[in-house]
Amino acid sequence: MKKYIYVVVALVIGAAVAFGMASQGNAKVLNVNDIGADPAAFTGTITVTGIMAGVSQTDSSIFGIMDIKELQCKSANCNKIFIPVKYQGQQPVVGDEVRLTGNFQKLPTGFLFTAEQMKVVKNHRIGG
Amino acid sequence: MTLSKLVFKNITRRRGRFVFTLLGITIGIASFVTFLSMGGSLKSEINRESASLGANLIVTPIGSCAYEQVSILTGEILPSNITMIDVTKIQAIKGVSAVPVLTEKTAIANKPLSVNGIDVEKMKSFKGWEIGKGAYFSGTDEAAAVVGFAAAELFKLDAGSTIVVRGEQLQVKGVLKETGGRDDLTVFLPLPLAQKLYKTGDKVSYMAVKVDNLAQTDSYIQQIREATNLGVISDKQMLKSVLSIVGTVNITLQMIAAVSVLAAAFGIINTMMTATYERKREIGILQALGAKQRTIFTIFLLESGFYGIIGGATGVVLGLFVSITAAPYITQNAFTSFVKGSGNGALIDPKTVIGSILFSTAVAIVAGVYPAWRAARLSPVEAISYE
Repeated sequence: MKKYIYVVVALVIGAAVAFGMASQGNAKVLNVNDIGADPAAFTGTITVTGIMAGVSQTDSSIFGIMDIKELQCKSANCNKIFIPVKYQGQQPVVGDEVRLTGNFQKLPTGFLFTAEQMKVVKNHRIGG
Repeated sequence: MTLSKLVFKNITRRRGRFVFTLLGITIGIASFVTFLSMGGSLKSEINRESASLGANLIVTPIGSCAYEQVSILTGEILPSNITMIDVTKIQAIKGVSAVPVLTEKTAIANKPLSVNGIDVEKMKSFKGWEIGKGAYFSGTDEAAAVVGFAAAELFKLDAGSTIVVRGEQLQVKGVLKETGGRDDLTVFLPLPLAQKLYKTGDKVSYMAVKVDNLAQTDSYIQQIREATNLGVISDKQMLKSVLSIVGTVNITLQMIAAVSVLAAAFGIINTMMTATYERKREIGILQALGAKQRTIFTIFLLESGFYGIIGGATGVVLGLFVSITAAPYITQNAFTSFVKGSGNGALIDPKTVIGSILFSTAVAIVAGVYPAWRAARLSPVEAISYE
């Protein structure tokens, strides 16, 4: 009986560790609506998740992300906050849910999020 | 040997099989209980937040959707489209007490925190706040902040501390007493200061309205609509709307859990079918000793039911443990953000506990019907001659 109990205990511990690691990975991810109103309050490297909503007309390495919740809201009053993101690697396409790690830079025109890492989680097929 | 002793002995004879079959039903019921507890917690949190809002009516920009109504309860940012002219018009309606709110966000140590711009005097009497530490705002023009109880605890703030909102250093003038609602996790600023810092002009996000006569709520709604061309919903309508969204989420979660329980039920069928084949000789001996088909059917059904009772009980314990420990981590969307911080004893609902054990037992008994029927219909000759 003991060996089966050991197996069960090992399985439970394994599941708990996996859950803990998964939770830890998600705990620091911020949403666009969390940071958009006061970007100056966020210092150092942070991870942000959002939906790629469009590319800058003046700089193709800059794109805007909006909050994931905006996908649900269809009314005209939706509170769309866009955060400009600069990323030097391969650019995401409109509708891509991205997870970006980087920091805010203060420019004369406002704040720009400079991403060092980007992961495309999935595409939400918006904008045709 | 009594029937119950025989059942227990048969089940625990193959200990490995017993443990792993039990684990299947335990995990199935644990996931069921987890989702059920979280769903129940979600509903009670929404009811609590709605009550703590303290308003009979909510005025929002026209066309606001249910997701924005969720945001009012969760303290998320809302569009600022209501002008102070509209605010004045609503406040002029006889029989209503209306307070404007501007919802914004800031952060302390990279942790997001709700900021509400409020009419300081009206809001204090509207909500019935009491000051725990320090003092409340002395006037509308003050450049200071008052923080909620939980925010003060979380960020170690006290009267006299300094916080930075949109780059401006503000002194914490006081800390509110615990309200039990979203206000506990909010920083409050005088409305003109919040509008200046967040550059919203003279606009606010929504208005909370109390009416003198609840029987005339529809009349008040009509008057506000006629005066301002804004959307008005009652607290009951908002609650219904938000709970309908949450209900959809709950059903989805429960369906996922039902799949786990179904998988566990097939595990029981498999175990009991194997037991039927392995114990043909034992069945034959029982028949030779005069055991009727009904007795053999009962033995196998009881064995199956035993898995359900034990698996249900362990599953409930595991499920409640997971729901209490996991709840604070599930904060990534508007629906589940209510669950944050609600990991407490209130999750343990006796109905959930008893219902889940009964459900587990019922599923296990149903799963055991076919193997028990197969065992009972064995002919004595076939059974006794099995090697």
